[in-house]
Order: sequence, then C-alpha cells, then structure tokens
Amino acid sequence: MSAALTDRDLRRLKLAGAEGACGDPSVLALLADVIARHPRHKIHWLPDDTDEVLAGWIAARLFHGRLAELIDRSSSIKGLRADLVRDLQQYANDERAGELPTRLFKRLEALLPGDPARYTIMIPSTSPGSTYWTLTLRPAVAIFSPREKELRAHVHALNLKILPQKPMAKKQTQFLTPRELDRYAHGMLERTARGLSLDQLVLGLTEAFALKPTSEPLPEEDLLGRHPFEAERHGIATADPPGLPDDPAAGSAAQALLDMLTDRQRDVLAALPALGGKELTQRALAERLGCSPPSIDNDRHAIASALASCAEPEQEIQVLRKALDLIDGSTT
Amino acid sequence: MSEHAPSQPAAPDSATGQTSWRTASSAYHALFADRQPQGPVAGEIWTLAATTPTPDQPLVIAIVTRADSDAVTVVPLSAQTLRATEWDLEIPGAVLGYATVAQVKLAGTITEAQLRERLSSLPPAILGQLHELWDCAEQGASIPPEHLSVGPWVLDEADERLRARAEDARSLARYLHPSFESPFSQWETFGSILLRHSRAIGVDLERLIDPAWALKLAADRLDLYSNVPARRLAALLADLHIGWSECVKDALYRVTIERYTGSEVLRGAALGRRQGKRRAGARAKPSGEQREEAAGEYVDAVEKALSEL
Repeated sequence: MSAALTDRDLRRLKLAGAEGACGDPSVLALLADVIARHPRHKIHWLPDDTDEVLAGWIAARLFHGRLAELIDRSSSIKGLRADLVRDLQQYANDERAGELPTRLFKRLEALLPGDPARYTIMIPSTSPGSTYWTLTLRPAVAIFSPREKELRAHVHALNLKILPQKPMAKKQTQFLTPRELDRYAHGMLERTARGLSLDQLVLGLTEAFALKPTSEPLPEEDLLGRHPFEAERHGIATADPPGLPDDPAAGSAAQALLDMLTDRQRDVLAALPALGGKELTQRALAERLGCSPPSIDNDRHAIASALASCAEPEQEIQVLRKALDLIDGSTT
Repeated sequence: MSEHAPSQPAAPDSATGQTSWRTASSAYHALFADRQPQGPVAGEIWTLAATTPTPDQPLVIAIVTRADSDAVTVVPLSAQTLRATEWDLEIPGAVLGYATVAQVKLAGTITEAQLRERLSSLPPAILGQLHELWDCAEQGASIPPEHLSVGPWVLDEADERLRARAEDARSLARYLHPSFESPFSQWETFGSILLRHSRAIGVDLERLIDPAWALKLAADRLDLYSNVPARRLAALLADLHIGWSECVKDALYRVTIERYTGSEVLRGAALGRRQGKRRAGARAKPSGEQREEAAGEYVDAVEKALSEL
C-alpha cells in the first residue's frame, strides 16, 4: 500500500540518489495506487490491467529520470502523489497522441503540392520526406542544414496555436487547424529563407512539442530503410546529448588510491554512498565491520588523505567514482 | 579482503552500470562530512523551499554558485530541456539521473535556511562552463560564446520560450530574489536583434554589410548615425527579414543615443539628404538633448527609407 511510503522515505530516496526508485517496492505500490485511483474514463484507451499500465508508464516516462525528478522536487508524499497523478495523465495523453507525427506528415505532404502558387519543390527526391520545398515567390538558394540546432527555435518563434487534446473525447484533435498548419509551413520557409525538407518540417513540430518521446530506443539502422518515409525517424535526437567529460587519468588514480588502503578502509570506502545517503549510520557500519565508531573516523581520514595524494582537488569526485566502480567490480 | 561483511555496493548509473556521479558526489560529501562546513558550497546542487513555504509545495532544484554568510546565490535547474534557450546550460543526465538545464538568467539569491537536501554536485568542467555563462550574462552580452553547451538561440521576440521564461520567473519569485533585472535582456539590444536574424536566415552579417561595421554593429559599438546612412541600414533590415516593430525601433533608438558622437559631417548623408552641413561646435561632445534629437531623426529616417524600399 502507498501508506508504506512516508515523508522520511522520500528524503531517504533523495539522498540515495532517487535513481533506484523505480525498483523500490513502496514506490511501486504508490504508483500502482495512483493508477488504481485515477478515474478510468480519463485514461480509457489504456489497457485495463493496472500492471500493464504501470509497466508502460515506467518504461515510457518514469524510468528515464522522470520519477527521480518528481521525487527530488517533492516536499511531501502528498505533493509527490499529486505530481504523479498529473504525470500519469500526461503519459496517457502521449500514448493517445502517438500517431500524431505520422498524421502531420501526411497532411503536410498533401498541403505543399496542393498550393503551387505558394510552395514549390526545390530539390526533388524519390522519398517524399527528403524532398526539399521552398516558397514559390521567394525561392531559396540554400537548404537548411540538418545539423543546425535552430530548427526548434524557428518553430517556437512562430508561436503556433495548438488545439488542446481532450482526454475525454473519442477522437483526438488534429493538433493544428489547416490554416495554422499552412501558417507553419509558410512561416518556416519564410523565416529560415532556406529550403526545408518535409522531414524537417515534421521534425520541427515533433521536437518543439515533444510529440514523440525522444528517450525511446533507436531502431536498428537497417530497419530505417524499410520505413515508407524517413519521417519515421521523428523524435530521434539530431545531436547527442551532452555527457560527462571523461578524465582518462581517473582510472589509474583510482587504482593507486585502492592500493594505498587497507581491507577495512576499502570496506569503509564502499560504504560511503550509504553513509552519505543516510541509509547507514557510522555506528551500524562499525558494528558490521567489527570495530569502534572512532575507528571508522580514522579510516575516513586515511581515505581522504590517500585521495588527496592521488588526485587534484577538482578530480577527487571522479576518482572516488572510479574507485567505487573498481571495488564493485563493475569495471575491468 | 577483510573478514568483515562487505558493504553494499554503490548505486549504479542505470544507463552505464557504473557508479553514478550523484552517488559519488554523495560519497565524497560523506568522506569529508566532519571537516567541511555543512553549509552549501559552490557547485553543489540542492533542493530549496519557498521564502514562505506552505505544506506540500514543490521544491526548486538549483545549483549553488556562491555562498556568503548572509545570502546564497543559486541558478535554478529545469527539467524542461525542450524549452532551453542559449542562456540555459545543458546539464548532463548523469549529474542528477535526469537531464536538466541551468537557467542562468533566472538566477537569484536565497537564505541558507531555505536549503533542504544536497542532491549532487557539478563536475568541475561543467561548473566552469556555468561560471563562463554567468560572467557573460553579468557583462550584458547579447549572445553567449559558441563553445558552451546551451540550447538553441532565441531568434525572434515572438518565441514562445520567452513566454515560458516569464512564467518560470514569476513562479520563482516565491523562492528567490532575482540576480538579473530582466530575464529577457538578450533581446533588448539592436546588435542582438541583427545577429539573431542573420543566424535565422543562415547568412553572416559580414556578407551583408562591411565586415568592419558588422563586428561593431553586433556588439552595439558603432555610431550608426555617423557611419551608416539610414537607407543602408533599412536595406540591411530588409535583407535580414527584420520587421519594423516597437522592439526594433526602441533598440535602434537606444543604440543611436548611446553611440552618437556628435559628428555633423555625415548628418545629411545619414538622414538621406543630398549634402551634409557642418555646424559650429560640431566636434564638441553632444548633450543629452542633442543625442535624443539625433536618435529620433535617425529612427524616423530609417522608417522612411524602409517604406521607400
């Protein structure tokens, strides 16, 4: 039952990193309870089975950091529950809107050749998605590079009026009225002053309005060729998300750190995340390791001194991270 | 290994299977817990409560950039990464377990009592980028350096991300005292407007106007009145597809006032007259009234030239 999760648990989850929350039984119970209590008519297009909805919700949104973020931002279980209710509804709405990019592609594919006074082909292609379009009255001389980050910025600049999705309705709205879709196509070609492919026009909408989750796994490259339109690539990020800068020296420094520690000091080092996350007290750790709490203090000081001798101050967390990996055996 | 029961392994990053940065950061804090001051340190990521908290109110997640005895300066983090602008630094998902952006222009100060939990810390390289972006914002730069990992530029004043920024600024007012007077200052200079539109159409300013002018124009360091005839500027605005809005007029008026040096030699040329006329005392530093008069004349002349294009 969700009552098992307390405000104290919430704090524990935050300090422990909240990353493992999707596997925490009390959190799973809270999620299941949120689904069970949510008015069925608001999510009627989702499966009837609560477990199935839970699995889908976790896979589509919560597992990718959303749950950790909600936990971090919540000041109480009540607040967390309210956020989860909203997130469940958003998941349901997203599921329902899953076909939207394909429908927008088809509408644009019909719109552009249907108005030769306004739109004309700039670069023809056998694939409709790769066909570049420009304005008839002001033909572009260059195409918009797929590498440019500003595609989304141009969409935002048009300030489109989106038709709200109504969860209760039997049928989805068309997202953009025909007039607004035309304003979009014309506005993008005018604003960029360059040719845009049909794929780029659809991608602009999917990126700006998150019409398709970007966290879904990429399809196999050889499968892409079998899709009828390249627009099937919607939602695939055009640039890699920034990662943490790698420090190649950290691995050897971490090994040097471990070489300087006694067996018990290594155990204390391995317990530091639990100590930091308040999952473990210093007294409990001392009992587990068969020593006194002041001995744990001494071990910590020894680890700190060893760390300072192996790494520059700005490298210390990275070296500690590598050392924890080495202890865990998760890196070779 | 010792004979003691081994401790629990560190929490792995769900994507890489390695110890997460957040876990390592927590471990680092635990290692030095009895030595360091328990208060916030620059680079740490904390949750913070509202100035006057109410029950169940959401917390804000923010990076501490400076901690003094009486105030803590923080940059709020948003998970709405799709709304990132060029003034929002992308924070890799590994830092917190989910991707966020640091909203530098929405930074502010809080009291230490508002801080709740320490969640993680920024890797030094990213903290360096944040400081760099902060410095640019503080110096009033209209565009941050290219090498920073930020969101796409705002290219038009109608951009809905500016509205979202305004909403964020409003809701953050309950949590912090803003460090920057306007979260929209990046749109207020004439040079910024020119740069953004040139980026929008994919044509460098240097290709449309004398390169020596282009650099100064972009940085709002050019005395437009004395150097650029109104017709030439009107043509540039048209080339860049810049509409003659109040925002553009205001920006042009401001930069003309600010950079007007009082040269009367090109006065006629600037305003589109056939011949310039030197007035007595033209080399003296212009008064505020003269600057305003010149700026008003110049803006009117550009407007007229635009209508004649």
